[in-house]
Amino acid sequence: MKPFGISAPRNTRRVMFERLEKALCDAPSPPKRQPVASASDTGQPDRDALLAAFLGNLDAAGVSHATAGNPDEAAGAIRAFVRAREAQCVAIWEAEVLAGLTGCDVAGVVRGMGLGVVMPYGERPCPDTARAEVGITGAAAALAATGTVVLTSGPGMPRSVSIVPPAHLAVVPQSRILPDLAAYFATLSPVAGLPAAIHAVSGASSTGDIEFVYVRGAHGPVAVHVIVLGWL
Amino acid sequence: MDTFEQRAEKAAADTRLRGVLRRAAGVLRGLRERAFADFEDFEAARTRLREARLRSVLRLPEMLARLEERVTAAGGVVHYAGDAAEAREIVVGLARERGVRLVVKGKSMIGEEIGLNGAFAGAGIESVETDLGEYIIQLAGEGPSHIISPALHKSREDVAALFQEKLGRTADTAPELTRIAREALREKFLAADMGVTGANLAVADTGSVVLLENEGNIRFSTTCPGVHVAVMSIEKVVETLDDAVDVLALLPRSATGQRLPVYLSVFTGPRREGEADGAVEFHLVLLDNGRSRILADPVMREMLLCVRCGACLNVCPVYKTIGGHAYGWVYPGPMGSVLTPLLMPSRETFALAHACTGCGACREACPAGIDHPGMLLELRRRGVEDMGWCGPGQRLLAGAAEAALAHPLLYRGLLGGLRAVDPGLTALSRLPVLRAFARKRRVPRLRPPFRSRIGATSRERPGRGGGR
Repeated sequence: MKPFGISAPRNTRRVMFERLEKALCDAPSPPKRQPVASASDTGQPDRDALLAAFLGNLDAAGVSHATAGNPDEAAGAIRAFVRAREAQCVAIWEAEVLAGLTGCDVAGVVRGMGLGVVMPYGERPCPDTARAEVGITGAAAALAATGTVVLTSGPGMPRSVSIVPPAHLAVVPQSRILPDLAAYFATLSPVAGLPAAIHAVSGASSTGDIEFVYVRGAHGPVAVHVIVLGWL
Repeated sequence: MDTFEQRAEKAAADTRLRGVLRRAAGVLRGLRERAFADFEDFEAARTRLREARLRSVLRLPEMLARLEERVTAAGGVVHYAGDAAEAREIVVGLARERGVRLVVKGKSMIGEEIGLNGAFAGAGIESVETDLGEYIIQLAGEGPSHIISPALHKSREDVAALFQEKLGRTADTAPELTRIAREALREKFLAADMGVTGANLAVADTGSVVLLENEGNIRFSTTCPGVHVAVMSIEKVVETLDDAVDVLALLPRSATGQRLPVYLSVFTGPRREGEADGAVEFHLVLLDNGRSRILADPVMREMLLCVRCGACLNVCPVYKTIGGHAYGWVYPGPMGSVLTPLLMPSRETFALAHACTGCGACREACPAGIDHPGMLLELRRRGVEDMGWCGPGQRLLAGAAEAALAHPLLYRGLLGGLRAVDPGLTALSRLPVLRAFARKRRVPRLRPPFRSRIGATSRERPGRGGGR
């Protein structure tokens, strides 16, 4: 029996790098990056066009949605979705974080419904989240071209909330809608560092692994619902 | 052990498998057509992807050093594995040191390449594949037959019987079968101590690993257990997020016909201070296992641009006839026929170079513009030179054929003689060097020379032969 610990020789790295350097000694020089026409060259696409494209692609991705024109409408839309899912218990991002991200007191609305609320915590956070029927998050961005909601990890923004419960509700201010993935990546700074996890979510968890039959609800949410806050 | 030829022959004669493959090919063709229907300029996108990959592959030491630096700065740990055994030792070692009992795995071709499940089993650690397709083939004790859709060879009935046998529960439809797997695997996710995934690509500038999936099993595997280990072959790195965008513009489209998969995840180090979930430890295992040898080979270097989308499998007439298992290892189809002999050079693996009709459909579909047929021709040449793929009889015959083709008079004379004594080529095809070749082919009858026939035809039907 081998002792515990990594038994790979310590010089593996050095040997590998030497081999790679040697392998490339006669290699041609790599191509330079060609500039690409980006959204910013053609002027910012207008807010309404982005929203229309986003909603259209949410439909295409099988994601239901509602657009709220003011905080009351948003509260109504949140309550309507949670009720429609017949949820007794919801998992939700921290109140202040959600308020900061969405400019809307999402947690307050949910508290007002008198439901059980779980927050993942401790050594094994997922079993807690698994008790919830709906997971409620904000979003760092939304992508119009693909009907995508982008979630980042951080304090008060547990990752399990958007993957473990059978339904995921994302609340997105309209101003966070970007054209596409390239536009979102352009907002990230390698110098400042990326969040530990970024999840770009386009639709409900699905699989086609048995005879290519599309099945909605593989491991994660069967339903994804987006509420766009139109006044923000 | 059986040879590639024997396996291919057996697979091609399997009518059930042929039916499954034919259906799959139809679906995959439809997905591809739909994916590129709205696509403006495939050639331009392909050039961008190819250049993004080249920028990194041609500067691989620099890219890996930067990746290591950034992953480390984000709190992750980078490990280097020269070969499969080292990679297994590192990953299983990480599990052992932490007293891990249950590992949940995302689909990873590198995991298959290094035989990770076997290594975990040998160490008494349970490792469960959590991608539905991989879960099915793990239960069946088989390898993947497609790099994107590993259980493509299994019919619904196969899966139903398998679940009945292994899980004691079954159903008739794909949604019900999926629900059974969902429930079985949900328990595993919630109890697992370690998640092991592959990596679709890594970004050197940010120290990130990018993973694409539809099911959510990778998200569970990286969110719930305390440790996330990503295994990746060294060439999968790109330099910048912009380069990643160029790869992502074509990868999901080419793989599954999606503009983006349901989940595109970017992981940069482990869980940070103040976060409630996500792996507390992040390890990135970088595997060479023959890549540096490919990099040193100017003709074959191009294979390192491959992004593992599986598009070449879906369009390949050979793959569509024999399926994935006949190729004998984890990488099937055109990319596998090139990669397998390069990663594991042997007389047996060089047989794969002959699994090509030269039709070029793979090259056309490849988002990196890899010239598989050209590389397979070169591998055939090397098979002859280095791997003894040509006996003295074949050499003699090839020499004779070459001489005949180079000298018209000799050619006409030889054919004239054959027409006289063996017009059905029956005697010729009994020659030992040709017997195996002729056995699986309809040997043509020698007819009068084309020149004499075309002359006769144009005389018989005046006006048809002349151009307009």
